[in-house]
Amino acid sequence: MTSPRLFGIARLIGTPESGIALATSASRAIENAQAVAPDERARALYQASRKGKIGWTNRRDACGVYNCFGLVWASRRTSIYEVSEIEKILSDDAYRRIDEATACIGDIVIYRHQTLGPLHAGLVVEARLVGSAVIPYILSKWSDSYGEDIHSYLDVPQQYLGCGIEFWTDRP
Amino acid sequence: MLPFDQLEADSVAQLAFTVATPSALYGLLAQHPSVAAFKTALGTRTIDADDVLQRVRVWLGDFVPRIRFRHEAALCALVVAVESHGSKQIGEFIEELASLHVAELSMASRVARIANKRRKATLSANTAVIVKLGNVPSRTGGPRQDQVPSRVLIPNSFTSARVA
Amino acid sequence: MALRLEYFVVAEGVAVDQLTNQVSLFNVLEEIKAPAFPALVHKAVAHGLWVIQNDLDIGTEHQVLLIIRLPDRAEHRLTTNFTVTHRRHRVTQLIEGIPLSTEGTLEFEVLLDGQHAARHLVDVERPPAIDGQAPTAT
Repeated sequence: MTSPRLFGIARLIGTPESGIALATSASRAIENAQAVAPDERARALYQASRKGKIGWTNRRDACGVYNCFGLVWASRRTSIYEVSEIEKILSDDAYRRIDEATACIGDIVIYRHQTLGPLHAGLVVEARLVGSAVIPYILSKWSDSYGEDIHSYLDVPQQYLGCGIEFWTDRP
Repeated sequence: MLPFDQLEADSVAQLAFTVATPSALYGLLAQHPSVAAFKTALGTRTIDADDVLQRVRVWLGDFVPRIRFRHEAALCALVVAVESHGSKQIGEFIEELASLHVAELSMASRVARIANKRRKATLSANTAVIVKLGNVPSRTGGPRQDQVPSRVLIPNSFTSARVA
Repeated sequence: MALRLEYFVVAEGVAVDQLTNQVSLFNVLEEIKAPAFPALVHKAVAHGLWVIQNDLDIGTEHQVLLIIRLPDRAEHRLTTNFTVTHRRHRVTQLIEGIPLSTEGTLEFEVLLDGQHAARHLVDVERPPAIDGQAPTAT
């Protein structure tokens, strides 16, 4: 590279990415990295995204460290970013697909774009009776900068509309 | 709205803050109107590589350690927008971002790695050398010698073939 | 061969668009008409595009050897080393001042890591005399 380094400041004072020891049930390492705290704009955007979402119940304000996959599979200790790691976990930890009707507390939901793969994952925390239907309610950490909300599995950000919704369980 | 400002739009940031994987973020940004508008500006030369690098330098003035980089979403969008630009400076910019492993830019560097891989699969690298076998008479005017091969050579080499 | 030669051409000029990275070649050399000998080819560009066979080729180093065989059987050998960083890699050798002492064939042969890859031949001619007069040097 012949020109002066553009990202010299980031190299000089940035936080080296680091993760924790994390592995699947088959002892395969899961690549992960702990996110830094959100900036003011992220916090403001999170609040803006929650406006009008009257069905959402906030559990936690905007924070770093973990993303949605880290909430589901790493107990909020870190973030998991790569699709390959998600598929690795689903396989090694013996998850299986189930119908929405049989989803119960502790199961997980994945919002999967037809061509782009998983966009988001959450934990089923409630099976709420709404009228005559049982609706899974999900605990979601929207990203490694946003907060946590409990919501109906259909009441999601606009980016997830059109995604396939998959329920998975580790139950035999 | 100016092309750089469009990359900083809330709609771009919301994408970056609600999509967990860099590959999905890359794909969604590639379809975003702000990225399309920026590509158009690049194609019509309203913006050039120097403008891109200068804007990134300005953004990096807001870099704060241990806090998510304020312009990270815009940086992700910018990388997607300039990925296929053929210039060496843009290539170096994407390559350098892709080589970073700092937490403040974790998503941007991941998106850059995707873009860098795609770029190397689609653009050609160039190696050029100049060799003098004999003394060529100097001529006034014409393109500068050190601009080769990035210029058109005027084809008059043979009409002036002469006794050495 | 680790890399595949997509094409090899010798031309008068080459340009690479700095915006799109597209390459353009100008006036492919097929014949040279020299009014008299000795003569001099001011510039020729030997340009080839090499393509990797698989991703394992990324990071490998290679050498292009260009052999210029003059009509009088003299030879010039030019080596260019490069490291593969992209799926496609262009190698351009711009040669200034190729001496021609007689008619015949000007041959450009390109080898990769010692193995023959391609050949480009150019006819070197002296235009026929007019009215029986030999051509004069200009």
